[in-house]
Amino acid sequence: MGVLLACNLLNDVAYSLISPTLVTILGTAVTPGGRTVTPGSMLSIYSGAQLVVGSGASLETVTVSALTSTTFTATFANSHAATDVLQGPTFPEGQPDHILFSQSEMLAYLVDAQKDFLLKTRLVYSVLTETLVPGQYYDQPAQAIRLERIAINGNALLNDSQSALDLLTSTWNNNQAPAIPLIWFQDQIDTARFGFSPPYQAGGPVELWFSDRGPDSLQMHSGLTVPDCFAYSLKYGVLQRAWSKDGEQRSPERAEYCRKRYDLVVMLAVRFMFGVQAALLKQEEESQKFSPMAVPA
Amino acid sequence: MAVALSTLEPLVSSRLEETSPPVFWEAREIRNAIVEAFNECVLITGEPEVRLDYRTTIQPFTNLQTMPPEAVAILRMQGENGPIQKSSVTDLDRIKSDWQTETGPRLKNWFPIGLTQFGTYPKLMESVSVVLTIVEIPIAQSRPYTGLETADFQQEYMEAFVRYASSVLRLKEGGPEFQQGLKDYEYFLDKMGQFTNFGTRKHQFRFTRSVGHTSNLTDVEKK
Repeated sequence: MGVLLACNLLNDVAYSLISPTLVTILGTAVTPGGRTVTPGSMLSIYSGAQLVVGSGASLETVTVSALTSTTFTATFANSHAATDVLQGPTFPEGQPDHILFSQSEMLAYLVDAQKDFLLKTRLVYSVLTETLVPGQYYDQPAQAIRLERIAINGNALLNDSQSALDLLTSTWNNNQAPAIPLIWFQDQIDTARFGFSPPYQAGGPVELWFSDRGPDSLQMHSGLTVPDCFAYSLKYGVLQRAWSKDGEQRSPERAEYCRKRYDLVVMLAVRFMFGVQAALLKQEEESQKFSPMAVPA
Repeated sequence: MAVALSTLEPLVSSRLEETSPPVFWEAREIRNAIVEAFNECVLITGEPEVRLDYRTTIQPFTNLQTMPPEAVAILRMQGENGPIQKSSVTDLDRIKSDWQTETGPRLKNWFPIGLTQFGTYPKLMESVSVVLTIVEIPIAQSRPYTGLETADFQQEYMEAFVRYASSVLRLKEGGPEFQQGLKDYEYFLDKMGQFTNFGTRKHQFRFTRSVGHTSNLTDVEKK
């Protein structure tokens, strides 16, 4: 995870949507609890707005519960100095009853764009050790796009298929030895599940290597799963969604432009992965199938 | 040659015919656009490659290591006794399925795990320092940028970054101004193509204008 936050990307989106962005100081030192502060600016702050305050370990998102022309009230989980940075793209246009874009909507677009990017490029992998109960079929980790490798006690299991196992021996499903599985498969079972042959009789820790699809939700102060160098593509992903939505801000031309810019960065990321051979599987198994442009035969 | 964001910022403002102090585009907005230009250059050209004086510590008792925050990708690793051979998880599994259980005093192989982690084999008993050749993130600092941040690119490509940034910033204008910005982006792509023309000794993710195609490997690259 890099240094960019969700609010940084959404700031860039706000700039393109000509929506005011807030970057100021908190103005009042606070301790945890419900506090009223006098920030350096009240620009684009409204009741219900989510603002990012602090940095490092004190970084958090607070929600405005009440405000005056110069102060706002929110519940803080951490202590902050008066000079702590207060920031946030709040998308205040049309608040409170004719909203053009809401913060939660933009965060949802960002989550969608990030998941889509990671699905198409699979440039982030995670390794998770799970303790499995005795059995044969299991769910893959919730954040996994696809399992890539499984190891037990430091030994990699062979990836195969139930179809291949059927060809090897018709009784493979009844075999109970050895006690530690030798083969794992993902075919002909439910979505996002995997199985072992022979079954994992004793259960125990298993190391699961998988391509990571990122979180299902983001807060304004959340870091991004996509590495920083590629993260600007998410801005175009969010803008494409925002400009293609029905409403006063609808701009099909710019939505299409953003879609193509996003697709270009996806293509560059796939090429980059291919160039440095960073995919977990061998490159001949992971040839570049994706291209946004027509590739002549 | 290092160039600071504050050097390019007024050039972008001038191109946009922005007043000083800025009215329609904030200084932060302009700096973000310049950094975006740098990032796209990295993805297209694979530059800058940085080797000297970049050390990282390989943690003991584990095969998994965290990518240095300044790195987009690792190209080469060098230990005390010379280069450490690059491998892959697939190759290691095929050679020895229980390679993760091995320990040793010296690294034999390293392998990438996507672009956010890398691995080493065998597990070491104590940490060691290695020299990495990486593709470097041009600006690795967190936002907001102050303008003092610098990136290492040659002078002849600065105009391309200025034109890219102005193209991105015109997006919010829409209409004819946005259309004009597309020409600036085309200029940037042309310059990046010329940047990669000098990459005959570089790596296979050099960009060509045939979007979707990888460039062909040269004899130097094939070795």
